[in-house]
Amino acid sequence: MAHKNFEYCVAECWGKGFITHEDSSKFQISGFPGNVWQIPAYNQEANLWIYKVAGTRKTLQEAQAIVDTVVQAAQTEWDNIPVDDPRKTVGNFNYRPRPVDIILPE
Amino acid sequence: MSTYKQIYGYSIKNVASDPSADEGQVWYNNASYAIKLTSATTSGSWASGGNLNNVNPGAYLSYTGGFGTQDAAVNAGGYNPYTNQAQKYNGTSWTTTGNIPSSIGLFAVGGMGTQTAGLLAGGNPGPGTGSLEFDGSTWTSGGTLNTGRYWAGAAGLQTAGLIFGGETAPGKTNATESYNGTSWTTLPATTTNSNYGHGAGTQTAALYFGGLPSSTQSQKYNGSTWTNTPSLNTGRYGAASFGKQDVAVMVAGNTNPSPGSTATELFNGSTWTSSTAYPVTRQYMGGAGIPGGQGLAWGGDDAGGSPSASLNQTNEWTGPGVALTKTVTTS
Repeated sequence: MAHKNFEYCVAECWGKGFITHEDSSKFQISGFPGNVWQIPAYNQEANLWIYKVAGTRKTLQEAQAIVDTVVQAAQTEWDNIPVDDPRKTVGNFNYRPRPVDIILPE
Repeated sequence: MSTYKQIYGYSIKNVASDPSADEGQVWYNNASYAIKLTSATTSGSWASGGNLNNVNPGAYLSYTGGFGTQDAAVNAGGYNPYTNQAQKYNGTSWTTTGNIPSSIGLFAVGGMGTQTAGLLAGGNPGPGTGSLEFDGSTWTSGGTLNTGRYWAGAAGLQTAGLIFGGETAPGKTNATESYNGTSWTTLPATTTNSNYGHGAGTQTAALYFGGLPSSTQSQKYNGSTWTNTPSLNTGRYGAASFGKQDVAVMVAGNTNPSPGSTATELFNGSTWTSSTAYPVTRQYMGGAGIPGGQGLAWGGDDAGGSPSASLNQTNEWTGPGVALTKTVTTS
């Protein structure tokens, strides 16, 4: 079995109680676009958290595809903004660079 | 085998819900069938709070003004597009409240006041010279700033507010002004011209940090002068901030050119240290939390630029030394 550092799941953050201080004091939970959540692999508490939030487990490849879809949509949206739009003008408060690809770690 | 009573001389309580207990106390929760205890946190942690109400479906809510405490906060205004929304947080959920008079975003960052006596100042479209006072349900006009600005730093209370730095479009300012509940008065300037920075603290013990383009600057105010402090570890603008001068928190923000981050940094009165990462990458969030140690951050965008429901998240911060209920496990 190949060693992995992280597990992934998809879960919608419903608000209070989704991540508790007790959860985050035990293990790191990181969120990504598309409601993808990353937790440590081989961790009993983290596995119980997926159960608690009714998360749907995803392989690394499946999770990456979900993130890619959201990021690519944002990139297309950005590409369609006119080049002279304030959102593409450095120094404007609402300037935003082109969304970058996100590579999920194994 | 020894029992708990034999060791400590008393039994643990059997209760249906978790009590508010002192550090070290133990009880059995008969609803969740778990032995629990209260321990003090050794490091800060983030937990989910109630999601923001989606006042503008299809868009995200960022650049909002904020003030108050972790369980009694207010967010108002915002951007993308500009909005006059306002919501109050009770520690569990957000409810809409009286709208601000016009659609404004990019108020001074850092929070001034409480849920029943709050203050917002500056803003964009602008640079704004106005200020808005909140009494818990309605907004009224406050005094006029001497220097119009948006995205400045802020600290203090409604009747003892402080605003510093900010964008004057074009340009940036080092102007500091105090508010007494009626009018704004110019005070000694910050050590540098800076914009898009963040504030924390009180009118006489404030902290100003970060800013464009990815500034690590940090300085503190003692009621009469600003002096530089050791720098931030991660230069950022567009972060959320709250706390006081010796327990300040800076959350996420834009590290330019990388949009968004998860970095959390704490200032203890002397130095900035990195702490537990924010659960999601964010920039342009709102934040609140006085007097310090606890607070919350909300909204913003994920730098992916794609609106989604998850951008309505709120996360609550508990700093070191705060009582926390934990479940005893046997494996």
